[in-house]
Amino acid sequence: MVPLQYYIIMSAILFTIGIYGVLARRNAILVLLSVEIMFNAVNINFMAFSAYITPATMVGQIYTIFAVASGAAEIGIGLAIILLIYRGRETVNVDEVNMLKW
Amino acid sequence: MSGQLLAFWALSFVILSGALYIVMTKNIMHAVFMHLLTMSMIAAVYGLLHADFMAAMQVLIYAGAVTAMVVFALMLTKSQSRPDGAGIAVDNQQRGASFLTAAGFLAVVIYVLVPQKWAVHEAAPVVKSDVAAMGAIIFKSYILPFEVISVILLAALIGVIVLARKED
Amino acid sequence: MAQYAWVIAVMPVLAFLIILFTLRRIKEKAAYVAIAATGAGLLLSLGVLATVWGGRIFTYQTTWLTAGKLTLKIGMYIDPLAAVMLVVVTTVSLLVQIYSIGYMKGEKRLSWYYAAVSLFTASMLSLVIANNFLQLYISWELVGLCSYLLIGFWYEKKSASSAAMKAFIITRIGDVGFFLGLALLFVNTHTFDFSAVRQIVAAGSLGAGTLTAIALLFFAGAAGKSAQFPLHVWLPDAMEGPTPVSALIHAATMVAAGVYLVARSFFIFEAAHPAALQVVAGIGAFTAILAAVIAVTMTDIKKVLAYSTISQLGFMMAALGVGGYTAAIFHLTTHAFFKALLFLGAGSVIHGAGTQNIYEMGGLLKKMKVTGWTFLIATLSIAGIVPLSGFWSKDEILTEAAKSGNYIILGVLLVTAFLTAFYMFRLYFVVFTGPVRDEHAHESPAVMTYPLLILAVPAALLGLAGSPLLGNWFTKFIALPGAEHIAAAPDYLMMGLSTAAALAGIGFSYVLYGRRAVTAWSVVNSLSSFSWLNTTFVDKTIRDGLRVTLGISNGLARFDTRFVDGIVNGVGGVIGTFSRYFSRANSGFIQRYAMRFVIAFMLLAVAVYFVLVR
Repeated sequence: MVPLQYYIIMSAILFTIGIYGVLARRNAILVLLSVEIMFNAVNINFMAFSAYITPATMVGQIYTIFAVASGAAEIGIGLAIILLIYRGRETVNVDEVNMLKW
Repeated sequence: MSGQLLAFWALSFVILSGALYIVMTKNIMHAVFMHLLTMSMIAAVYGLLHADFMAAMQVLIYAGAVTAMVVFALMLTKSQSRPDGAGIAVDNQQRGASFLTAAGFLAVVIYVLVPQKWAVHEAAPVVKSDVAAMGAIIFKSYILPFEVISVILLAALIGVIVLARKED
Repeated sequence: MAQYAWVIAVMPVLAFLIILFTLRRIKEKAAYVAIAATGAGLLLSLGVLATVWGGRIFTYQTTWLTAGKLTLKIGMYIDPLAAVMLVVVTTVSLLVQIYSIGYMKGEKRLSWYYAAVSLFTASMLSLVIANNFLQLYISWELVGLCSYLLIGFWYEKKSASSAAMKAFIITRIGDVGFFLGLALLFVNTHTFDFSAVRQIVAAGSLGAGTLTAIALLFFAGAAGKSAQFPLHVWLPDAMEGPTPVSALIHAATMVAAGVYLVARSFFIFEAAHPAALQVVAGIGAFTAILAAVIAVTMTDIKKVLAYSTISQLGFMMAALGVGGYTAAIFHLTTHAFFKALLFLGAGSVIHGAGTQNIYEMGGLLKKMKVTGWTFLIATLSIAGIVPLSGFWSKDEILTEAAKSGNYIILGVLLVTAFLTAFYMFRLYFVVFTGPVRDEHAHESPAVMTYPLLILAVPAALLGLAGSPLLGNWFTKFIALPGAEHIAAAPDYLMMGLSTAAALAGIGFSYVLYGRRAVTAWSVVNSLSSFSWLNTTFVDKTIRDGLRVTLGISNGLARFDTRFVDGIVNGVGGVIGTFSRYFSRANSGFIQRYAMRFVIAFMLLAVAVYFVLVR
């Protein structure tokens, strides 16, 4: 039996890696991939809690389903916005898209 | 060391190193393939948690659909880093600060979470996840969120079409 | 029915919004939206008129905003006067909009034109149904704004944009008076509501001095809007706008708003010192004769009509001044129709002949049958020939003037009546009779001539409603509550005098212009000094006045910039320095924002953990 703590720590590390990716990556697609990593870290957390604490009602699993659905919507919109930016500015680099200042 | 624990260590190692590769590599295409691998391994973790249905969903949605979409996005945009990894940097200037921020975050989370005592059902065997039971729960207790999420998906669908359509 | 009167005003607002939000796409279809809204408004207005038929008065109001002890209401006050105005405004507006389909054809900002006309219609309707002075003032300013927008419709033309500004600024001079009057009224009565003010005034708790001041300040506003001397100089220039706009705004409705205001607040004038009404009568009569004289010298068809409008408005003011409340409203109503008809006819002439100079036209009756005959009806009506509308309403005013015993006013008005007949028939003879000077002139399309035909009916017959033949029905209908109109026996002396004046004018005009027996120029030249008095003297005085005002304003502005702004800038400068420092953080670099977000979130989590959980 794997202790619950292991899952928590593993998902925390995964989430941290995602944060690093979101903050440090220049390419918008890589930023989106990092966001996906963060999403999955959260989902692992949900799944672990579901299996360890509420195995009968499966609350965590159902949360995961909803999280996956909104994650799918998020990545779709995100990629569409990236395409739109690329069409207008010929770049997908996040730090070159800085019109929104002052 | 039980087989489960061994499997967990192995999966964790692959997942974390895969994620690290994604956020470190200079080659975007490699990052996407590593994303595929990482997502599949997470599906395996779900299997370890006796959530077979969610494992299948994970493979379908993240390893399948999302990765395919990202590949398409990659093909439609011209990345400034070439396949050989040379070229303009894929990281921005705040790499070091980002690393410190992320490390700080990890420290906070572990400091807070690890000492916690969870009300774990140690004795109760982990119930083999049952898709029928899950469907019943969704459509009884969670019907409203379910409908809301379907509207969100529809809105996202329309939004994506509107955003990505060429201006005429 | 009356409780739905607000719908009449709301529909053109909707039309305005619809057109505004589809400005690029709707193009000429905007006309149908606007016409549908106004047409429905006309039907509703007729319903409202039927509801108040027996002289009943309806008031509805709802709270608009509450600020401390101050409660402002908006509402409707539907009495016969408001109902008549509703019908007049919607009818003229509807016909003008239909007419504009033809007149404005091919205009590239047509949808904007209809949007502005819709907004104007809405504001004017809201003005006439207002149940308090504040709402009336708001609508008052809105119609002024629309007038500005529409005079400057062809803003590419320098003269049009300057005329628009001139109209706006000069009416604003009057509006300042109106505003001060409102402030004075509110300080003394703590209400804007017509009925409440009426009760307070009737109770006699306000001093005559205060009431006189309020009345005169209101009259200043009315003089600006209704183009009374010396604030009349904007109206002739306002003819730079499209002709249908001149018909709607600068002949039939908006310029009548001043008369309407004086009529609405007539109880204040009555309670004030008699001098207030004498000022109204004096200025009205003087404006009437001055503008009539100037109209004789004008050669631009629209300018003649513009001065004619000023003159007729002067007539109405004079009528109010001698206490002829119903006579003024009666003349306002008939004038709205025959002057709108004259303007639309003039538009048709301009459309057909391609010029505005009357001496470049001639013999147009042969070329433009419908326009010519309807124009003749309107001309006869304004000249005051029995039994057309203008005769009855003008006769009513003259009777009131005679009854008041103010024979100077009466004399001036009779001379004006003579001049009116003279200059209108001068216009008619020069434009429509005599040799044909332009072979290419042609009749306007049906969409323009049918409104003329429809307008010709009220222009000819509406006066009968207020004539002694029908027992002065209209004047009884419109009379102020409590002041029962005694159906005076027909004053045959006045009728005779006014008819004589009109016939003399027509005859004189026929000799000079119809037969061309005497050279007209000698007469006109002798009159042109009046024109000088107007254009040079009045304009110059206003300009000098503005210059003095500017001097004072500059002095105040200097105090403002040196001292008041010094304080404000000092405070602003300190904050600005901080802001400039902080605004550097706003780099537009989104990942930097994200990092700050993560750090802030972490700090917050730590704080919550140590403060709340531990």
